[in-house]
Amino acid sequence: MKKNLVYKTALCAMMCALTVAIGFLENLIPEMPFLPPGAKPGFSNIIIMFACEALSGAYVAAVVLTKVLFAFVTRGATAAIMSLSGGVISAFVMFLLLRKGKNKAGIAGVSVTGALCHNLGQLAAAAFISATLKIVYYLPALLVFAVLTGVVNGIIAGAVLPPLKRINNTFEQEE
Amino acid sequence: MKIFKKSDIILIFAVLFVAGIIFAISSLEKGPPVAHIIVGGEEYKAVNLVDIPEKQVFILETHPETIIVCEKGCAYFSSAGCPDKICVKTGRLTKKGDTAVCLPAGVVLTIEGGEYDAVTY
Repeated sequence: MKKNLVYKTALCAMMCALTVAIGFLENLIPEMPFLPPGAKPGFSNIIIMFACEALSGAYVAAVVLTKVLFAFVTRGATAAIMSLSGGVISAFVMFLLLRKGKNKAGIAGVSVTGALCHNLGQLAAAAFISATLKIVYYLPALLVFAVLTGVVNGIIAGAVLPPLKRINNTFEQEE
Repeated sequence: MKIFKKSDIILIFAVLFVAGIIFAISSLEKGPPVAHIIVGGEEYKAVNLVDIPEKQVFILETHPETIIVCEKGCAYFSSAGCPDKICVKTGRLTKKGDTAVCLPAGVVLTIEGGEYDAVTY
């Protein structure tokens, strides 16, 4: 069953490139007064969700780690730790939900759960780095923002993923 | 692929509910607003923002260097040596529960309800 290896590797590389591009574009979004500082819409979660469905766990990990590496190169060690703590947990949970969840949650639920895990993982990492629990004051804003971005990403994913999966299936069968 | 299922809606409202409760609890704190400056997990300074005579500037010798300003009614990071400047962009903290963090320097600035001062009461 190794004949799909080249196809899957190429697909994974495309996912990596997309998350890096999206990450770069999100950095250009200016701070807005009503949003928590440093908050991003997290559109690359849509890519991760597609990767979870189309590729195996190792490929998903490669996509997440590429994102972390990009954060490290462009924004430094602290940003990389934040990207890692949020990215790994959210990708892992979304992978489980999409693969083993038996369709209990809709795509918006998966997206919201991913965003929640991302923000909570980052908050935990931030508490660890700053060695204080006082930053739990961020929690309400982070929860609300995770729901907001999760729903938006879920709606986009609901529109984008089905045709992408159809194309993907056609290519896989042609191999 | 369905976008919203029943469980999704329940999840969304449950999370919003929890967020609302935490927010309500943190805004219930009594007492005048006190800005706490925490460096590396240890409290460095607590400044009462109500009876503060004049603007106070704290230059913290962290890596990178951060500067915190406390004034009547608000406190904020005025500068930081890190690349992303998230703490500076957080802006002025005025309400209890407002928090700004500079992770590279390990500095947390947060406003909490303090004890009533014996001198003013």
